[in-house]
Amino acid sequence: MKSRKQKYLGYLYIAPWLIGFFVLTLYPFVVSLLYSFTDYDMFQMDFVGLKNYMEIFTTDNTAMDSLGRTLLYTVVSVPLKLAMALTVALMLNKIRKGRGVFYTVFYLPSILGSSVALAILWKYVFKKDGLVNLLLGVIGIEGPNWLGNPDLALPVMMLLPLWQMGAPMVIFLAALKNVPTDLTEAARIDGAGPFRIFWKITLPMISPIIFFNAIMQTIEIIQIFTPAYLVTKGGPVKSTYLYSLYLYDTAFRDMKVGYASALSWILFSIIITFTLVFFSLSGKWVYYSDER
Amino acid sequence: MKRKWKTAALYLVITAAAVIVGYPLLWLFFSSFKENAEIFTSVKLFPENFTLDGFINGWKSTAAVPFSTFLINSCKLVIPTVLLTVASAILVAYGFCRFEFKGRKVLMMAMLSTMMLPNTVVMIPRYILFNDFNWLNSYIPFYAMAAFAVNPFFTYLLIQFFRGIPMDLDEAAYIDGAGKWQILVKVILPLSKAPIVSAALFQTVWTWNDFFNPLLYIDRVTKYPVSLGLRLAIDADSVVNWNSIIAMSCVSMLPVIVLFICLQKYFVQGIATTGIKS
Amino acid sequence: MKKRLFALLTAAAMTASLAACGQTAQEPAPSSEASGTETAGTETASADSTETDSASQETAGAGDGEEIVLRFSWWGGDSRHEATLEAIEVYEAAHPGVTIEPEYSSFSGYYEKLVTQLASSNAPDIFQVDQGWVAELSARGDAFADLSQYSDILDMTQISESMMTDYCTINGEVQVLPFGYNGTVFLYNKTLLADWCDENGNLQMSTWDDFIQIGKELHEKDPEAYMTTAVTDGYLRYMLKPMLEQITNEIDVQDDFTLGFHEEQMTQAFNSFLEIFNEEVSQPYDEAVLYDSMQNNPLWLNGKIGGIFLFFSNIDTEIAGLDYDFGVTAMPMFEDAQISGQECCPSLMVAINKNSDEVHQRAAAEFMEWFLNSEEASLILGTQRGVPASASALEALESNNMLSELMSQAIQISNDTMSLKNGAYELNASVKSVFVDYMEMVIYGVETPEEASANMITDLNAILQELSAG
Repeated sequence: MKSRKQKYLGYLYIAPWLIGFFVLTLYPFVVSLLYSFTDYDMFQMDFVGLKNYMEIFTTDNTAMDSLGRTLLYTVVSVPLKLAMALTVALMLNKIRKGRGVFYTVFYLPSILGSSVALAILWKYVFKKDGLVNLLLGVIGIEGPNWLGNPDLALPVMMLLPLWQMGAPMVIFLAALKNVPTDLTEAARIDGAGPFRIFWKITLPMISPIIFFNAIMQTIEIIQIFTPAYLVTKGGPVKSTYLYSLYLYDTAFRDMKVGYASALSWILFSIIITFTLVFFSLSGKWVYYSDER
Repeated sequence: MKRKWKTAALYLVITAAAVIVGYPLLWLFFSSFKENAEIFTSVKLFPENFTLDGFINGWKSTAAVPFSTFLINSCKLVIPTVLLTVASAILVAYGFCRFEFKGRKVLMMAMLSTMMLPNTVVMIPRYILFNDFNWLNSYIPFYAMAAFAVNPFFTYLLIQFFRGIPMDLDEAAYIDGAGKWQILVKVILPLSKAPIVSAALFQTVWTWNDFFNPLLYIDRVTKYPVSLGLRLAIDADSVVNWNSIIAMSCVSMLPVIVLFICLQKYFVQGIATTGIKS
Repeated sequence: MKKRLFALLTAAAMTASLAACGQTAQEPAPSSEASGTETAGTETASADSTETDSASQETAGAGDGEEIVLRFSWWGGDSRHEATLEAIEVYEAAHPGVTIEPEYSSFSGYYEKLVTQLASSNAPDIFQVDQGWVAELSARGDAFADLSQYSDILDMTQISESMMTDYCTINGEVQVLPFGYNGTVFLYNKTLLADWCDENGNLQMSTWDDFIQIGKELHEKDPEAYMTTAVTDGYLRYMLKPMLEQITNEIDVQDDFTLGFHEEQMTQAFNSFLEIFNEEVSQPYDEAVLYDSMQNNPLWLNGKIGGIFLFFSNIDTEIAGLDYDFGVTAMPMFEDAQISGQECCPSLMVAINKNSDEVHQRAAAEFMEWFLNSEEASLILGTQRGVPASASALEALESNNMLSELMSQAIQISNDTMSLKNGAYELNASVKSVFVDYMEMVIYGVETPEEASANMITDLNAILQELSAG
């Protein structure tokens, strides 16, 4: 291939992003990094060096508590959400009749997004005399007040991403569509069972997409904000007070933008570490067709 | 016959899951026909007194701006944003995975990393930037961010799918005399309908529901999209007609649902066509 | 055919994007109004503040026949939006040449947006603020124009002197004005509490002991019913804090950044407050906390709540659509208390942007004079922003019978009860969140009242120190 010309051609294709990066993204990023070394409060700022970072790591219990809570949330929610999305996608991929209807139903919660109705709905399902407890009542169990109980509120909030798993599900379906049927067909003729076919053919074929979903969901859920903000406001007794909520309060309630920037860059470092680890492990299990 | 039983079991499981997932939404839908107090006092699905007030009042909407204006605004905001997002994502993804150039890996990581800084702290400098550009009070910030592939989610999604397309196909086309652009249009795109349609779908849903960015960038109520218009009536110190809010939430979901139903065929495995292919 | 449609769409999208990239990348946008893109650098700090084409900034110089656009932002619900828009329309009709650009939204996000706008000098000319924000925005943001410069057109004598000194004047400048004012009363359901009312239907309750006694009896009689409930904020502002102030006789967060109470007093207040839950006088907190307002609380809607503490201007809202008979009475007090501790303060406030030029500020002041004081405006606005703080506006409402009977009674009751003003930082969001956090910990038993008092005081002092430094 004519490599010289191609080199520049490559830059041309990624030009939209390059322009966006330098004009729209880099400036806010650099500014927020600079803020993190100041006591910027929206109006005035003084350079304070590493003070914000020192404070976060030494005296700020709220930051560490909410960070721990957020990591727990992420570690539980992401695998469950991915498993749920993949399972549903596999099942939908197997059926023919009424597929459209099921499809729509499973995607609907994601269309609802984080609208105001979400808070009403989630409370309706989990309040003391709500839907879940009504069902538990049928089998003779008196259900707790899920969202009002500090021990249960966080687990309940972890279910929300599972319910709204439409995006990864659709992506999985798109990936499953690209698995060549001749491969699976041939394996079946060779006498391989469905589980073996899934393990040996389907899974490797969609591994780049599993990888994609895993990374994106981790990035998304570790920064998750709206559910807790809308439904529980971080309560009761801070049991659902996630890092992003703390960050938001610090920036807008306390107007400590400098400090909030430091909090953000700490989260940034954590996420990028996660991602790099993901990437370095990906060679072992992610298979790309374009690699030779 | 074993197969028949299996299919039946599969349907049973899917139906059960669909009911669990869908029931709350069904309740929400029927709530829009309830009277205000009943929404919060009863667990029942169907309204005791069926009323259309929620829809009627909600559609008339608040203060001088009919709800239809919000819907039209949302379309003006969403349609160009989605088209630009898809286009820029295709170009950038293609650039990243079918070209070798210096700094490719670093740039790709830089691209991904832009998703990792919480929006809260990027918001203020970005607002200042858009203010300097004189872009506030218009949809240009959204169009610009879409055209310049600022959200790497879509780009990366397409990269992963493009990488699943064997290089042999590119090379075959190359031998047939196709240039890089033709390879993209004739080889890559036809094989990537599902991910491209998915990207369009996600951007539609996310932009349609986005609350905070429009809130920040748009001052005039006559330019509000649905997501902002829906919240205009919510106030702790006023009588809030929740049935209208829920009714309008349902109405505002409708265009997206219709779009979803229309696009479905692109990401459902077409048994018939693959049969022909092999 | 479907294939073609798809191809067409993608093709169209790609050309659109290419065109978009091409334009901004190559030519420095001669036709487009985007003024900063050509620099393509990251430091588009824009020395040329080309703010001229934002509609509001179009001053077009002074002189007559001038067109002036005022931006006015507020938050609220449907009825407030409607009334305000109507008022604006009337004003514009009477003042050709003045256009008022309304920027209204719901409460959520309003403050965040306002602060962002202030930080980038893009705030509206006139904006609504909450009393709790004023001190901080004034100290840090220098956001408010001094309204006393415009005393020739804006009559501030209509607002009571105490309110002017307590809430509006900062460093000798009039920085904000109140739309309305509020006091706290107990709104009770006469139907449910009939057993505890006298023959005229007045609730026999004046002390916290009475309150708890009635609550216990009520809950025994009807296990579903409770004497009261509140939203989180309400438990703090209408119960815990009044109790504390009744004990101390002091404003709890003083304007010199000290606390008006010490540990034992706070512990005592926590203990009295806990009794409300321990004796099942209040709906259990873990249930009440799920509702953002009384309008979502099924017990309140079903008439199973004896009464609620509330600002009198919210009375009509909270009883809308309910078929019970309601009465109002004063906040209960401890036997030996001298003040009620009820919150009695401006409801919503309004400010003029310090960054607006003088022409805009003057026009804004003129509009505010009409909006706050005139009979015409008050009759349109009613109590949408609380009971008017302006004497002339209140009189207009009274003489036109626009205050409901309950509300008039409540105003009377509140005015007759001694109270303290709110400290400037008392409702500051950071300060309040500390109170809320410890209140919740006490309710949930995470900390004992003693522990919570000690820790809360430490936290509060830390925040107050930061605020005083800022």
